Amino acid sequence: MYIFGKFIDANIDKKILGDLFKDCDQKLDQLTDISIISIIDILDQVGKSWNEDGKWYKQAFEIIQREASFDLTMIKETLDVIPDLLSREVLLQRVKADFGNTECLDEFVSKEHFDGKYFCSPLGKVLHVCAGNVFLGCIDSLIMGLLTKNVSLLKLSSKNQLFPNLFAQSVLEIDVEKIISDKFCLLVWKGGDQKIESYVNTKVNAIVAWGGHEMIKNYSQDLPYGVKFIDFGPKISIQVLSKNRALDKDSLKAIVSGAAEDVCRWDQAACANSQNLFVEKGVNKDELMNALKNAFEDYHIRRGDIDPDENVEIIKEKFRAEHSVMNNGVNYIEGKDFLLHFDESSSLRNSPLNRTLILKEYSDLGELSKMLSTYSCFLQTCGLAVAGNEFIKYTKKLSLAGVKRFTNIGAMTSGKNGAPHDGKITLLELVNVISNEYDENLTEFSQRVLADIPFYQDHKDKEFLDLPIISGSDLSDNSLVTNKAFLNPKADKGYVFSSGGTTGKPKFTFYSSEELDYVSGVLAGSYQKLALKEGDVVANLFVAGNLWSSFSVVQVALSKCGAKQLPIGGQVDLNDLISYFKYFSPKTVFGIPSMLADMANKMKDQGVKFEIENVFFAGEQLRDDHIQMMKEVWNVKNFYSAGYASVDVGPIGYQTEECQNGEHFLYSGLHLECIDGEAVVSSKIRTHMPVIRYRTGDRVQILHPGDHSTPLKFKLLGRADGQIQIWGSRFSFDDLKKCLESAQEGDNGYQIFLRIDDIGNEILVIRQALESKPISEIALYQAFIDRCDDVRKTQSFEFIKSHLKFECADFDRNTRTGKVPALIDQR
Amino acid sequence: VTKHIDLLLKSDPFEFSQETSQLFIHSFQETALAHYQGSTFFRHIWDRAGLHPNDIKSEEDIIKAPYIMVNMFKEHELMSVNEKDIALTLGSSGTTGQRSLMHLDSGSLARVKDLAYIIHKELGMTSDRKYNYLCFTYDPKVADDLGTAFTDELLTSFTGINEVYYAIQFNDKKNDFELNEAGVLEKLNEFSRNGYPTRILGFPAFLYKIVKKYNIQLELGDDSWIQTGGGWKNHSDEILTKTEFRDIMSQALGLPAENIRDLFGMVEHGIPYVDCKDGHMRIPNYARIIIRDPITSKPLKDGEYGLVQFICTYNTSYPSMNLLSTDYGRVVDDNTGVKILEIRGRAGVQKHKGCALKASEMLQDN
Repeated sequence: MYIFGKFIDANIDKKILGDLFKDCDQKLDQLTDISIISIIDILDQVGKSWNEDGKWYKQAFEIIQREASFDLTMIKETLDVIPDLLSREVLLQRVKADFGNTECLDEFVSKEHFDGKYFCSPLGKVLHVCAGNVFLGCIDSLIMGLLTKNVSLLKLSSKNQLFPNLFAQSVLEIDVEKIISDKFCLLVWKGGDQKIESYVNTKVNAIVAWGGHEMIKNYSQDLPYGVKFIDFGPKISIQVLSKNRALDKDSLKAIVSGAAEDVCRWDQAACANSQNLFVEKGVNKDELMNALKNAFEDYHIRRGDIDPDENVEIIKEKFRAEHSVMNNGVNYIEGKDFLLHFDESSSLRNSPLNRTLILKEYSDLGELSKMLSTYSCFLQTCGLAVAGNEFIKYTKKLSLAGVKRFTNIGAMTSGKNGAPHDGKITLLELVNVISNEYDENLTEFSQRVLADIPFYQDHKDKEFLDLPIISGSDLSDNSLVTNKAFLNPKADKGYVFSSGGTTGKPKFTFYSSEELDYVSGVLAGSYQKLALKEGDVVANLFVAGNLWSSFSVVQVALSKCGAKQLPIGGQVDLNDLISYFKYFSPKTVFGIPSMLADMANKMKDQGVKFEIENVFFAGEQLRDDHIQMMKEVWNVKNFYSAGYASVDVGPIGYQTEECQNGEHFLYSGLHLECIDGEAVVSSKIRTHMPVIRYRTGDRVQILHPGDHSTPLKFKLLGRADGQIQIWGSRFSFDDLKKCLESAQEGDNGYQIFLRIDDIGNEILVIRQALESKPISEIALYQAFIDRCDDVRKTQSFEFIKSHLKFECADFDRNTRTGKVPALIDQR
Repeated sequence: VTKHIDLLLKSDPFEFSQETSQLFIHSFQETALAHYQGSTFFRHIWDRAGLHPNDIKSEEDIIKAPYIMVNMFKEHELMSVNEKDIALTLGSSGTTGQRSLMHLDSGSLARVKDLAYIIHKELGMTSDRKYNYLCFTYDPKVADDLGTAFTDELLTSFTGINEVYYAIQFNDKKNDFELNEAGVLEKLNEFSRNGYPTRILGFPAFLYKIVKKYNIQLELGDDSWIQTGGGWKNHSDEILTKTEFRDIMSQALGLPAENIRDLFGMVEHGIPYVDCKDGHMRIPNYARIIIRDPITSKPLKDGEYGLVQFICTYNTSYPSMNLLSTDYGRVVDDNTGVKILEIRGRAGVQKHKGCALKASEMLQDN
């Protein structure tokens, strides 16, 4: 026996079990503190040590020859599976397939469509009652236990003990730090030992039972309340061949060869091995039988030795076959190590195993599924060979009849990684899914998430309102490039986005994958509330790439909405865009208003018109001229804000039908303070690069403070920080000033106008006094390109040249104050 | 035509001579012909083997004759005569959930009763005295189609009867049969005092359970008997050797060990294999037993264990004359010409081995 890292040569008794269970709680505590990735990494290393040239493989090969009756090639092929079974990739795939992510096994994480968080907590002490039919089975059960951080006690089958102990030795040798090696036990007692089993049943939290009916019954009856019973077995698997598929002579050879694989692997001892092949009426039986005979004879592994008891079952089957021959005239085929016969009855029936395939005829799918439904609880895998247009109806009907898994014929015993088993998501069965619906207040949230953030080390335990207000320049000063003061040191998997700044001082932000997914989900929810329906054709015209977030986030959000997406991007060639619109007729487009209006304008020039029902916009204010242009060229019915958001914060506000221009509701999880008229935002969505009391630079007015039934409502009033928003870009007035200084000698006065020209283009006008020194236009264009990141990334030199105008005139003055405003927005 | 069968039954059941061998061969031919003509499946098996009953002319030919596996009788209702000619239908106990139905016409029924009587008489087990009978079997009034109950009824007919008590009774509340332990205790005490010798019949596990549980100490007397049969069924954990069982019962119930006799029988076969006083299960000349290798199906020599093939010729209504059972056993020749049958248990995979569904499991739930 192997008990928590030690091999013990003794018969199990209550004393040993008592000591073992005393240690269990401590082991469980230790295991839950270990990250799932550490567990996977150790298993991966163990798997690598089981390569064909390693000592474990060689020893196991010797042992299994003694313990199991399989042919040597079969043993070898099964041992070859171990490195893959334990590989990091496969284990990660298993965990992700069952839980969606790995993190939920370590901590509370967010979940789509659930406003709280969840954590998958181990059941605790789990007894695994192993079957002896396929020797890898118990190792797989142990892996399940370890991946779910349960303390695993394996009760070994009398037929399979040396191999699991050898596996434990390999774990012990690799896992020197005792990450998993002392968290499981391999125990032996005679099945049905009431004293031992009753005692164990009272001590464990769950029992995973693999095997036959009698064993399942023994363990499941009289279980103390609260002990979860997870049974796998006994099960029967089948194959189905339709007439239409059998007509395809080319594929018949592959089907019969697959049928042989499904039957012969592990000599039919596994629940996924086929026992019956159901053949639709009309298939040529003699031809099929002969093809099967050849395939079974050609199978590359011969049957292992069978014992007399097993052979008696086969003799019985031969007599059934004789009876069938009498009635249906189809001869049975007895090979050296297989038996094939076409049964007179169409009902499901067990094969005596050891490569005995019973063929049965069915008239139609309805009859077959009705018959199978009688055995619903026993059905497991169905290897299907039906015509392409029959697949859906077969899988639907047979699922209802009780089939838990469909594969191709030939793939029944080679399960895909992460597949459910017997209709259960196996790892999920071994955890309690704990929900966290506790709403932290802002101080609790801040204290938790800021604890590991370098920037806040002097503010750790402060009340929320005592925390410093952060501005864009704080983020620029501590961008991810200069230092990571705002980043949680554990943040690794996710996205880096550019969030503005200047060429010399770029600003970046980090979203974990989970956060981005959550944010996209939040946006998707608001799009759906506004107008998006599943299946809508949507063109994503935000500019893609360049570390920008909009295109990516909207893409994920649209995917969550079930839209049919056209990921075109904002920098598309006009002719291509027109083609795409013609080909796919989008109902909705997403993009920046000025860019969308510009696209519409250019289409108008080419005399092209489209019908686009909805426009979702973001990035700048939607102006009347934008609306007019899009209505004229695209006949747009509805304009919706795709959300008020900033890259640094994430989504902040959303609009509903009732919202007037600029009005928004605050998203759940966001907190808005209005300080000196400016929106200061905190987000509970962001924890890896927290956003606490961040000045957005936007002026807001709070219209409704929000209560339990209504979210806070606010109105956006424009920028508060001298930012210029034009051409779908944003840059500071200060940047513009520096550009002018570099293109002109001396200190000259000027006034900036933002206008719309006659054809709807946004024009930046630089007005100078008559006596000013001339501006080097080329130098100015270049300065824009060099200094203003946003402009460089979105617009060409030629664009700037045509959209930047100069004029000499007196400066406009504020009639009330007489002051000369530096920037006048006339759009 | 049952000329040779009738002649065979008139011979000494334990005489194996040239003459009885010839009788057996001819009776085999007669019976096989009856089944060949009356049973489609029997004929199919013979035709597929390329044989006709007339081809059977020696003991060696009998070994080559096609047999039918016992499961076919459990899974199909086979008979070689018209239903109207059936006088009695017996059902096996169906340990694993499947039962055979054996159909006897009047001639076959009479012959099986006769041969059972002759065998018991030859082994000194019949008597004109009256006996108390305690039967650890199903009350035939309630379960009148069970083979074991028929056997008990038959066995009680070999002597005079004072009283018969059936211990496995139907419990209306549970809607099932159960062992009436209190009734057994009461009857045992009563029988030990009422002046008649007692014969206890039935499943050994039940008797052993009562004796052990209630620590019984009685004196049933020198002419009292225990005749066990039916094996240990679902009590495989408690199986005793024949000697252990004889010692324990002899001491507990106060009767001679040599009066404790085991019987092996199969409903589908009908010939009783009964212990002689030495505890050896004797093979009568009304039957042949071939032991076959469970893997190759080849006949094995005396002394080697294998699957037991039972052959008899008395039954012309039910095509089980050449039956391959799922019992393991061997034939022992005691060097005096006496052939002894030793049964070692049941073959077949009923054991838990893995997660693939077994037939017995499907039966339990459907």
